[in-house]
Amino acid sequence: MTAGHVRNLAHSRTVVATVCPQCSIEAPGDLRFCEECGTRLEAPPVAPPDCQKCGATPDEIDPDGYCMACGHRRVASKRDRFERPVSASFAGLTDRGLRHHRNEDFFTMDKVGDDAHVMVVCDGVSSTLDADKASEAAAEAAFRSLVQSLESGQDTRRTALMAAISKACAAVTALASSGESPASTIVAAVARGGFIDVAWLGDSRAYWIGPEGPAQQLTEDDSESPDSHAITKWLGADAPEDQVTSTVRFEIPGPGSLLLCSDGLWNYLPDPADMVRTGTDAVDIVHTLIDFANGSGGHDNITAVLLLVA
Amino acid sequence: MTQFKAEVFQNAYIPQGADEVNAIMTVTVDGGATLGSSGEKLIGIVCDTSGSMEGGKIHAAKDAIVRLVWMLPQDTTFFVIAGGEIGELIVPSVRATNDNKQRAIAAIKKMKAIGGTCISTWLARALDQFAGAPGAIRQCILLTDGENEKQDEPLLEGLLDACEGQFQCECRGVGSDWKVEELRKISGRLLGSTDIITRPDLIEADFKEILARALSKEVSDVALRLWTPLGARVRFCKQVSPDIVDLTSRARQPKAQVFDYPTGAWGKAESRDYHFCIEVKPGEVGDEMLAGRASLVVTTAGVENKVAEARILAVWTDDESKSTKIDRRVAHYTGQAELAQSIQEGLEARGRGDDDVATALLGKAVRLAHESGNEATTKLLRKVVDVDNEEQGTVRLKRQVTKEDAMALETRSTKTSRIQRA
Repeated sequence: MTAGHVRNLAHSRTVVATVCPQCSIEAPGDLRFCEECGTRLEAPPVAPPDCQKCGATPDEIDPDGYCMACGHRRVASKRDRFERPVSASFAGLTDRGLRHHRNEDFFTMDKVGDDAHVMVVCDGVSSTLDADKASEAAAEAAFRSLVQSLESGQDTRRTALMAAISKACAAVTALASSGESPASTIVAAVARGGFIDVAWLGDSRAYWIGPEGPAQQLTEDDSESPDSHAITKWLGADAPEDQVTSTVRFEIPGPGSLLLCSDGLWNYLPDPADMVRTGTDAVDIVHTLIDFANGSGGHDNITAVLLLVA
Repeated sequence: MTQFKAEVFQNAYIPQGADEVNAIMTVTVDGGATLGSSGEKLIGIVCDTSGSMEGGKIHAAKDAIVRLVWMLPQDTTFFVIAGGEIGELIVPSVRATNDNKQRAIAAIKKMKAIGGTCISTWLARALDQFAGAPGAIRQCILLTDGENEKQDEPLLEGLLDACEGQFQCECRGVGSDWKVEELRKISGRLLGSTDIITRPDLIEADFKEILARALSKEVSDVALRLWTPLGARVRFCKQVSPDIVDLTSRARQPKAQVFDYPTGAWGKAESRDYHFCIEVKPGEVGDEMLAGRASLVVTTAGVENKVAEARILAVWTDDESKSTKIDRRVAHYTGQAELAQSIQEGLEARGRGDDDVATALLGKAVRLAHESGNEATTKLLRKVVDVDNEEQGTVRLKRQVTKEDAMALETRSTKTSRIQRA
């Protein structure tokens, strides 16, 4: 029913362009009916308030996090910034950034068995309520599904990934309530035995960084254009019905690094190769990446998961 | 620029459903700092010359004022008003040069005690003089011995409105024929104190002290600014040290959610305490709220400068071990306010002959003064009551109490002690 809906991910937290499902004409977010054919357009989702208590806008929050209208402080949650330093060669870090009032990114990762590395990055769509819950539910569901598949040893990695994305989609869909459809991107990867398999929806990315040259983007953004943050595929109750999950298999050519990240990083760093190569410890490198994004403005939530391959 | 330091003391933890936040803020001027005022100081001397001053009082007052004029540093400016039925400007604002001092002294010596007491006309003359020195430290000293004429009351009320914020005024009553309430109304509005000078020969020492304090002031027109969240209400804002001054009704509101309370001029190394009591909308357990943001604002040549800031917080908790604690300073000053109130109500009861109530209230005052280590107040109380047991507050009213001792207790009941170091 809302197949024509285009999600606007970053930078614009409130504007959601709506494409008329009948005639495919794009309408400004505040129109309730298509001006071409008169079809009713779904009301755009409301951006979450920036003061959790009174809904004051971000410019009313003082540098210490107190709302200058109602006085309440944004409750700092563990969700805002957390890391998983699995080993010196496998680490992830996510951060709220500087401008958003909460972190709507989430990631899950671990080493499974002796030789498999599993990692999932999700970026909740800011224009929906509960975007933070959406990304968390998606990343957790996809991760559990992947671990189960890998441990049972029955599925090929591609089918394991497809099953994981479908579990993630079910988890996000379950969060929908009347009028609200939380949504999230997803990029999931499994590295094992000389290959990396990746599946994704939306514009969270996977990169391969070799010993030299630019980074190789393994994913292709599901967005309207390379410069646009309007994604065309996502997880959620209102996801396009006919969307197909993209997958890619990459043969590891030699030593290098696999990086999964949300657009909060790649917006500032489209080619992370040099920065990734400056370090030898995955924990240090992910910190460097997140610090760089915050140092560049931190306009969005930032997530980076890195696997160093010897 | 002036170095002000503001520090808040409170227990931010309050129980579920609580809507009141209490905090004590200590404001201190850094002793080593050079302050940013123009350095100009204008001292106004207003002396009652009504008929009742005739005799020892007018002589002592004239002597004291002459000595005071001699003590003025050369870089200050001063004026003198002789107050009777109409205020007469006998020395208009002049620099305190030797020549000017001599001319002023000649005029002061000619003052005669005659006629009635119309304080509004004295203040009107003073206001004219202070209006000509907006950037200066503006300090007035008012000496009287009697009650204001009844017909002057409404005029005085209007004059106080006009004078508020224009200058500060210390009021002194000599002898015991004046009304504490009356002078306190003037000094309260004009950010000064009221005190009794029991004998004319003590005028000089008192004036000396007032002058020293006035000359130590380095920055004038300082406001205490309090921001509160939407839906909050300031239950009270009081200066609680060195004495209690309720500023609650004195607030101006420059914009929504912001109140400015006048604090007057500040001197080097000066320190005062303030008690804020703010009513807020109760949050949920775990919520943290900025219940107030208190700062000091110095206005120089129309430009506001925020010079210190401190936060008042509220954190709702279901942990009783946290929320039942009362901050030591909040408890101390709550006690000092209760002490002042017990004295005032106790003296009132004593005045109307209600000995039982007076004994109970003054006994409670003795206990509170003892508990808080307020020795100055204890000493004054002992002139009015015989103390049987200080800790329990068991007292007997003295049979023979001079009017001066009762008035001294009344005027100084608002003087507080600072918290004793733990």
